[in-house]
Order: sequence, then structure tokens, then C-alpha cells
Amino acid sequence: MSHDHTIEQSTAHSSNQVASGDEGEAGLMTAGALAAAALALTACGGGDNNNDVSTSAALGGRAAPMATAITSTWPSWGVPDTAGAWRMANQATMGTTEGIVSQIKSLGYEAWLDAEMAKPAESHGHFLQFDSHCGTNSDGTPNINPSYWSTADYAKRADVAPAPLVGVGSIQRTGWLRFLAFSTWTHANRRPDQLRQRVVHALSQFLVASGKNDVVGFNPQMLSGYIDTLNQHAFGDYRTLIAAVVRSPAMGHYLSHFANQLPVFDGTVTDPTAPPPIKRIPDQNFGRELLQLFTIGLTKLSMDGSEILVNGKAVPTTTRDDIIVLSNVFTGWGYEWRDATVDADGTVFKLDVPYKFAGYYDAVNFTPNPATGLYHVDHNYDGKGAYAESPTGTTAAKTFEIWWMPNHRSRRQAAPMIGYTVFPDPLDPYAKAQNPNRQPVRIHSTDLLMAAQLKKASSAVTLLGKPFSLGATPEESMNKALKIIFEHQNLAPFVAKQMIQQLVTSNPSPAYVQRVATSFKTNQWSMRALIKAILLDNEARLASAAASVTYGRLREPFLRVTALLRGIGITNTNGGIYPAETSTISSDALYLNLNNAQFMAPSVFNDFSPTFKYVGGKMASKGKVSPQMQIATESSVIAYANAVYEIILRGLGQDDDVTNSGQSGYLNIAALVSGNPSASAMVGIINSRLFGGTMSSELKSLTQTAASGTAPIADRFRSALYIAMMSTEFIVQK
Amino acid sequence: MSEINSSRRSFLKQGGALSAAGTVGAPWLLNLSAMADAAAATLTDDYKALVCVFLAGGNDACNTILPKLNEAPFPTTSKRRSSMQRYEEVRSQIALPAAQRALTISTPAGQHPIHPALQNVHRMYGEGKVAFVANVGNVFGKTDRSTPDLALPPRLRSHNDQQGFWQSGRMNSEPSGWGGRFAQQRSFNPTGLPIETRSNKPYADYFRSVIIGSNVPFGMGDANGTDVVRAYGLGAKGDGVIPLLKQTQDGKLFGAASQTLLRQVMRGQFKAPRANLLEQDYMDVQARALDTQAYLSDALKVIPDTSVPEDAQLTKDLLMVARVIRAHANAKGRQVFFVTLDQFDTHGNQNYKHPLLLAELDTALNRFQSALGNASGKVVTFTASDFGRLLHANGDGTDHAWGGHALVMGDAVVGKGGKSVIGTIPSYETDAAGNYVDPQMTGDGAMVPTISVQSYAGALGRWFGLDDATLTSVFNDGTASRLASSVGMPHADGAGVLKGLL
Repeated sequence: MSHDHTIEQSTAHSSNQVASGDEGEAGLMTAGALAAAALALTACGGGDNNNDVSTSAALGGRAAPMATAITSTWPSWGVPDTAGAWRMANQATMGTTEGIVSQIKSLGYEAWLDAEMAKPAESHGHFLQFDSHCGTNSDGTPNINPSYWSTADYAKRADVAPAPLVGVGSIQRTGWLRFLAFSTWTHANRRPDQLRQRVVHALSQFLVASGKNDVVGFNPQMLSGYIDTLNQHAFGDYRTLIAAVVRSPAMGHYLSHFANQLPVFDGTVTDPTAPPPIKRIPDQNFGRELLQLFTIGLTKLSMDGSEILVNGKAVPTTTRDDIIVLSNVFTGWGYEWRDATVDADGTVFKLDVPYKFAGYYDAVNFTPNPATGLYHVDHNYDGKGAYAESPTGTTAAKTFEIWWMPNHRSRRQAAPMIGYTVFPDPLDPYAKAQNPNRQPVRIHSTDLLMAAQLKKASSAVTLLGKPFSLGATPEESMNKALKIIFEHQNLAPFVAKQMIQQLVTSNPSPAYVQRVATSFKTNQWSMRALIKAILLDNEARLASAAASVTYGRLREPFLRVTALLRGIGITNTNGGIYPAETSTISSDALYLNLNNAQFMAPSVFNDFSPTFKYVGGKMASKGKVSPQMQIATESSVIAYANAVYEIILRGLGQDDDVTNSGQSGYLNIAALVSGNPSASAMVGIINSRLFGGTMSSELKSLTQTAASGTAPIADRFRSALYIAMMSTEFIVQK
Repeated sequence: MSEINSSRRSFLKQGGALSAAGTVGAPWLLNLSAMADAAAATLTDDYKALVCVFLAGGNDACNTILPKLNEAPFPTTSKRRSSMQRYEEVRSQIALPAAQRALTISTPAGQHPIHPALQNVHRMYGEGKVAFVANVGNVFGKTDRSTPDLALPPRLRSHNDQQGFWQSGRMNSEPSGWGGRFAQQRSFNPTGLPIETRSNKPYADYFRSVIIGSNVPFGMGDANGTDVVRAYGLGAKGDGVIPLLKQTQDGKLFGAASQTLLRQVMRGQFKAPRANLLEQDYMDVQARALDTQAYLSDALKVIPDTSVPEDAQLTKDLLMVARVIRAHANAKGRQVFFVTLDQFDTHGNQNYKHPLLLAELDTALNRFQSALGNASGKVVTFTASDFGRLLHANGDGTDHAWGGHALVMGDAVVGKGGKSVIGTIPSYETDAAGNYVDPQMTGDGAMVPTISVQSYAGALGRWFGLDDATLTSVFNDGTASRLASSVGMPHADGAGVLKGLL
């Protein structure tokens, strides 16, 4: 295990990118705030302790390196027309603006993509934005450092206080998640690197981590770190990106390889082919989904994405033994140990002991000390006793301890995990100081134990049909496993097809998948090549392809609303958008009833499946999938109609944490009607901003009717805008 | 066990067969059918509803029903262990302690504790309204740990595949499900129900299959049928209907345009219809929603909202189901419902999560059964889950396995005491070498199912009133031999034969 990344870390944050103005958008935070936050964040984002140069360069907030020259496999395109530019912007951004359409037209498709890819990734943007909310004082002044509130401050913040801990549902929605919602909505709408935002959104649909998991939901800073990770690697290479996903604490908790440990047998293993009975097995969750959802899928594919059939049957990619091997590979991951936080009262909070290692539950699991009823903290790494009471020492305070503890933990919960071969780390001075006699124990699996779990000789262990042995560290084992996984024939078509579905069309032709997959593979998993191959393909660009009756994708509600806000523009240009989470339709707040949000999927299978067919529908009758129809129910479509009405009327939620208080996400309709446009001129504005001028004549006519009459002009504009928003011409991206 | 052999046909012909069957521990299908319902076990003019409560993520069956009590422990000098010893050993952190083993159920093998969170379920078990079904899951016919991989269903232990399989009941994981196909067999009799003018069918027909939440296969009918059932996706908030633009004051959009424009756009009433099929499908859902708003709003007045904690999602969802049922239970027809309780994928932190989940299930089932009122005899509720979880813990959680335990609830479930656990709970006993004695346990601690999903579903289908031929078509995925082996699969003791449970 290497710890030589400390030096690297000290420079990793030197190039924090202040969100620069683009299309008239102001930065997300002031430069001063960012600098202060960066100082408070020295431990975040480093931790890249493998020797992979491209990985190192891509972490730490620097712009992703230009990949080695990309081999172009896509056609060259001439000067785009408005409709063509608008179509690409729909596929490549979180919402088209007139400015982006102009840019694409003047640069051309490929040069615009190059320009977008050259925009640097923001450093820790989501984490800082999340954290800045955690640190807002009750009087509204920013308080970024220290990164937690006093109990008294917190008590005043009833508006964001989490629900009491009753029942399972309360696991899923806490006030803290509002900070994440603020961050995701604001980034989607305001970041200048729109292609990156859209690619991250696409990745988030199948590299799923979600706030609906209890641990992750209570500690959304993990998710903010995860989103930052996806941002950093969106234009790097997929192999490095997946390695970063492995290291993410959000994923570590979501798919539970965090603190996963070697198998335990009832006796000493000597001959792995005849081991003693097994008592504890390593967690299989991450390894299984890594294969099934993130890399190769379950059945063998041709390069065109179609299933290979042998005697009419699909051929599995994996065996049960493959999953067991990977469960051993992903053992030993936990939070990094540096950066113990000293509280104001001198209490040292070392709360990030991987509690599975210690074999017990620390305060994060809300287990009170049976003797005192207080929640406890393991200061000694020993997993027994040594209860520290909550800071104020009163029963009443225990609730607060639970809630604000995550802020003590937040930095490392957003930073990459460390692979521990043994635990505690012998190099950890804190652990040594606390308990000098504690002997580190091995937690990363060994070849012998892995073989014993498989009841095979070590030399007979395989992964995906290839000989496999573990490395000396979790990091090495991961790299050895990823090497084999990335050699699998499925990887290119599996990832290529999903990305096409997320960006362009739910039902790509096999030839399209094959072209993209080939480019992806040829260019050694370059995300840039993947994105270009997708967006510059004939099937993405040609209007004739888009005219097919089964072409396109139903926009998920999140993307519909970001398209509205970006296309029309919002008033609070300096602020953010601050809704609560929008992933259900049971909220009393109408504008939140989108039944969809980022990073709030109900399970690792996301809100909707890429293979969903809507029975009884016309797409299904043609054998076509329509993934987003999975969340389009008789209730949700009405809830959505109401939500859009509210958003057009009142914006997207109370913006109570931004200095210019008032509504956030409030459409700047006043500016659009200030010149007192005629009804047809209003239709022209909507047509240009939301449809790239492609509105059908019938929709133009309907919106013009809506824009006519004697009501105040802003209301007539809203009326027309609403009709346009509710049309399937808008809802389906083609 | 010739009773198992007695097909439903002969059983129905012999009015006295039920009691005879009951006395000798008949297959659970028979136990499910109350005397009064048995004679009506066809699609005649009555009302019945099936409610699937899906425990998404894979419920940990090993902590739902525990090993039997009072089994002598083996000395630990050898590797030999009793079931409970083994349970405590390989689940060290997450085994339920002895103090939490007070609620028990009876099987011929002995008393088994169930999870202490299941208090209401246990009470209803005592009243004969709940039956447990042991070790049900995805298999082709009789299977144990020695069955070669080739004879096993594909993609075991994968969430979405096993959910898809459970719900579709066909090995090719169709987009349709057996709930929708059940519902497809019987439309509503129009007598007394409001008729939709355009279709000349009762509005109730929209609600033959209802899903609370997102669209899933279970409630979708056969796409090739003449009368395709599409699940109605219902929310569970407020009055149950989310009214369109209730917030507008004067019925006008922003005080300007008429709402008629909106409805026209949502229904896709254009002079030049939209060509794109995604657009057409979406408009079609909107049209269905608009068609039914008034009817549903009226129908759901049957039961006023009762107080439910904001977070008790399953309770809310099931109370909504109860309202839809009570709105239709005096008519004649069939309905299927699908609700989900999520988060059962307890790879970690199981001691915290699993009790909360089972408590929510327990509360919700109890409130639902009460809310049904005098319709309770017409409703059978059952659980399903992706799979069970491995007996062997991974530390603080458990991993994906195979068979699991389900429960069936309703007045139609008969039998008390020893008659309400169907099938056999696998034994965890190990031999002197530390291997499981029971061939239904794999080496890594998964239960190999002894009751197939189709047998389980088929039994429910027969109560619903479907005959054998219909059930065969419902589960037929084109592989006749597989159908025969899985549909006809006997329960645990192996005494049944083909269709014994159908």
C-alpha cells in the first residue's frame, strides 16, 4: 500500500476552477468562497495511490489530460443549420439555449464538441456546494469553515432538519438531501461545461449510486464526491473512471464493498480444495453489479450489441465463481485515515473507522450505548467500549450528534477510499497513539482463502475464463481484475449502447452500436472517442434517421425541466436552484412532483430500465423499448403536468439559502415580454428557445391561441409556454 | 397424499373433499380455499382480488423464519452442528438472539421462531388468516444442490432478472406478467358500474390491474391477447387521484387560455397526428389518465383517508389498494394489484434495516386487512421477493441467494397450527465434515427452492378462478417441458405430481 500521494495531494487543489461566466451565467460561488473551501479540503480528492499516470492526472481537479490522439471513425460534417445544431444541443447538454445553437453553428459539430471537451472539470464543485450549505449560518451568512454547525445553529434550522427517525421511509428523505438537490439542479442549469454535465447525467443512469440508500442518504456528501468523480473522468477513459467508481465511498456504501473483508473459515486453511467449513464470506454486491451493470452485462454480445445465441439460448458472461472471485478482490476498502477532526471542545472525532472492520456498529448506525442511552463513538479502533458521549453529554443532544456527525466525516466521505491490506494501517499515527498494542490484522483476501472459498487449487482460479490471482494490495487486485474485465468482448458494445440510449435514441440500430463500440474499443476506452462516435454518427445527425417513427428518447422529467429553465432563462442569475428532492410524486409541493431526480434512484437499476417495454403501447408492438415509459404512469403524468404549471408560475422552490432570497428557478418571463410582443412573436420566442425553430405548424397554432386574448401579457406567455412544454414534440427528444 | 393428485376438477365435484383434504395435510392450495370460495373457483360472476406485495431487493428469509427450536446442540468438538448452532455461527453479528425468538410457528418438524417484528402477521397466523410458504423460488422442477448448472434457470442471484422472472412467470422474462395475464381472463361485468361512453365499457376495466408506483411487468397483460390489460399506475397521496390543475382558480391556464387547449395537447387531438410512436404512447397514457380522473375520484370516496405516518409508504399504498377494492368489490369482476416495499437488499447494516422493513410490512398488512372490511373474504394478499439471502453473513449483512419464504394472507386461507406452513423449511444441520446435510442447501448457504414460482402463482390463480388450461397458457413461454416441470412442481415432500398444486 502506498502513501506517497500526500505530496501529490498538496498540489491537487491548486487549480480550483471558479465557474466562469458562460452565456451570461455567473459562477456558482465567489472566488473567495472557493478558496476558503479549498483550504478546508486538503484531504479531499487525492488518495490516488495507484501508479497509473492517467489516473493521477485526472484526479485532483486538474483538467483531464488530452488523451492520446483519437482515431476518428465518424464522418465529417459541414456547417450545421439551426435545426441540426439544436438537435445536437438537445443530445449533448442539459438544455439547449440560443447561445449554444449559435456556437454549434459557428464552430461546426465536431469543433464544438472539442471546445466543450477542452473546458476544464470543476474541482470538487458538488462537494463544495453541498458543504457550503451545511455551513450556512442561521443568519444566512456563509460559513464554510468549520464545516459543521453548532448544535444551537442547527436547532434553529427546523426547515432543513431531518425527519425524526421513524419507520423506513425516513431513511430516504432528510433535509441533508436538499443540499444535494441544490447542487445537482444548480450544476445542471448553470455550469458552462454543458457537455460534461450531460455525460455525467448519462453515466449516472447506469453507474447508479443513490440517496435512497440509508447510509448514503444520511451522508449525501458522499454523493457530492461521487458526482465530482464522474465529472473529473467524464472525458478521460472509462477504465480509469471505473477504477474511480470502485474507490468512491458513495459506491462503497451503496454497493457495500466499503469495509468488505476476507473470508473466514472454521479452522486453518491448508489445502484449498478441502477447506474447513466457511463461516463468513466477503460481500458480493459490488462485484456482481460491476459486471452486470457497469461493464459487460450478463449475456455475451456481438459488437453490434445483439445477444449471441447458441442453440437459441443466450450465453452467460459470468459464473457464480466469477462473483466469488470479485467478492475477494474488493476486500479492504475503507476511508482514508488521515484528517482526524478536532472539535471545538477538544474532542477528537475519528469517526470513520470502517465499522465492519471493527465488527460492531458505531454511531452512524444509531446504536445507543446500552448503559447510558447515548450514542457512542469509537475512539480507540478497538470496537469495544470506549464510548464517547455526544458532545454536550445530554440525552437530548444525541439526535444532533447523529445529524451533524457527517460533517465531521464529510471530507473523507467525499475523497477516494484507501485499499487496506491490513487494518488499522500500521502507518496511521493516530491509531498507534490511541492503542499502541493493537496488532493490525489482514483484511484483504489472499489467494489461498479465495481458492478455499471456491474449493479449488489456487492455480485453478479464473476470472471470466482467465487465470487469476490477487495482487499484494486491494489496489493491485482491483487493477488485475479490471484488466481482465476490460478485455471482455462485451465491454465495448455494452457501454456504447447504453450511452447511445442516454444521449440519442432508445433503440439504436445494431450498425450504429457497432460503429460506436468499435470506436470506443479502438481508442482504448476513450470517453472522448465514445462521445464523438455517438454524436457525430449518421444516425445521430441525419434528420432522415430522426424521422423514423421509433426514433428518439422520451426525456426523463429532470431533463425536461432543466431544458425549460435553461431555454427560457431564470431570474436569479447569481444564485442557485434550491428544490427539495424531486424523485417522488407524493410530495405536497406540486413543483416537486417530477417522479425523477439525479442520484435518487430507487435501486441500482435506476428509475427505469434500458430494456423496459411498455406493454400495450405502440413502441412495444414494434418490439422497441421505451425506458422512460417505466415512470410514466397515469398518476405521474398528471403530477408532472401540475409540476410544470407550478414551475412556470412560481419557479422551482424556495431559495432560502441564497443571498438574493426569493424563488429560485423562477423563469425570467418579464424580460421576454418587456417589448410587448404580439401573440405570434411570443410563439416565435418559444419556438426559438425550446424548439430550435422546429415547432410543427399545429403546435404553433395552439400556442398562439394560448398566447392570445386579453389577459396580462406575462400570463399569456406562460400559457403558451405551458402548452408548448406539455406537447410531446417537446417531451420526446428526437 | 392422493389429495394432491386430485385435480381441482375432481376436488370441486366432490363437495366434501375439502374437509377430507384438510385433515390429512393437503397441499397448500387446498388450504387456501375457504369452503365458500371453493365452489366458486371459476370465473363466474363474483369479485376477487389478488394483491402482490413485492419485497424488492431480496428479503432475508433466514431471519424471517428461524431454524427450529429445541434441537439438541452437537458438541463443538466436531464440525457437526444443529440448524440453530449453524445459524448462530455463520451469522454471528446478525443472528437474532434467543430473546427475540418468542413468536413461533409450527411445522411437522417442530416450532420455528419468526422475526419478532411480525407480530400482527403472527396473530393472523394464529387466526388462520396467514399461511407461510417455505422455500419458494425460481427452479425448473425438482432441483437440489447437485442439479447440474445446465438444468438451472439462468441468471440466478441477479436482482433484475429474478424480479423479472418472478413477475413474468415465464423464463424468457417477458415484459408482461402473470398478474396482468390473470386479470386478462375476466373483465368487469358492467352491471351497476359507470360506463365510459366512447368504449362502451365500464371505467372499472381500466383498473383490472393496478400498480402503485412505476410500471413493472407483473401487472401487464399479454401483448398478444385480444384484450390487452395495461396496468393502471396509481399514486397513493391524498384522495388518491392527482387532479389536473386543481391549483388554477378559474379553470384557465394562468388566467389566460382555456384548459381545453391543454387537454387537447395531452390527448394528442391534432389534425395531423404525431407520427413518432414514443409521442403516441406518452399521449395515450395521458389520455387514459384524463379519461379516468372523474371516475376514480368518485370511486375512491369509499373510504376516507385515515391517518398514516408520512413515511409509512407501504401502509399508504395498501390503504389505497383497499379503497380501490372496496369501490369494486360489490361488482363482478377480477382485479390484481402490485405494491412494493423497497430496500430489502441488506448487504450491510442489516441489524438496523431489516427489522424496520419487516415492521413496516407487518403494520401495513394488518391495516390493510382491517381496511378491507367486509370485502376481506374476496381478497388474497401474498408476498414475493427477488430471492432469499445467503445464510452466511458477510459481516454486517447478507448476499443474494435463491429460495425464500413467502406469506399469503386472507380470509380464504384456512388452517391453523400445523396446517399453515406449506412446504419444508430447509435444515442448516451440518455433518461431521461441516457440510450441509439437507440437499436443498448449497455450500455457500443458499436455499434451493422446493416450490416453484409457477406452483405458487398457479395456486393463487386457481383461487382466482382460473382453470388448468388457462394457467398453462399464462405460464407458457414456449418450452413445453420446462412448463411441465416447473408448473407441475410438487411442494417440498415430493409427493405431488404434475398439476398437483394447480
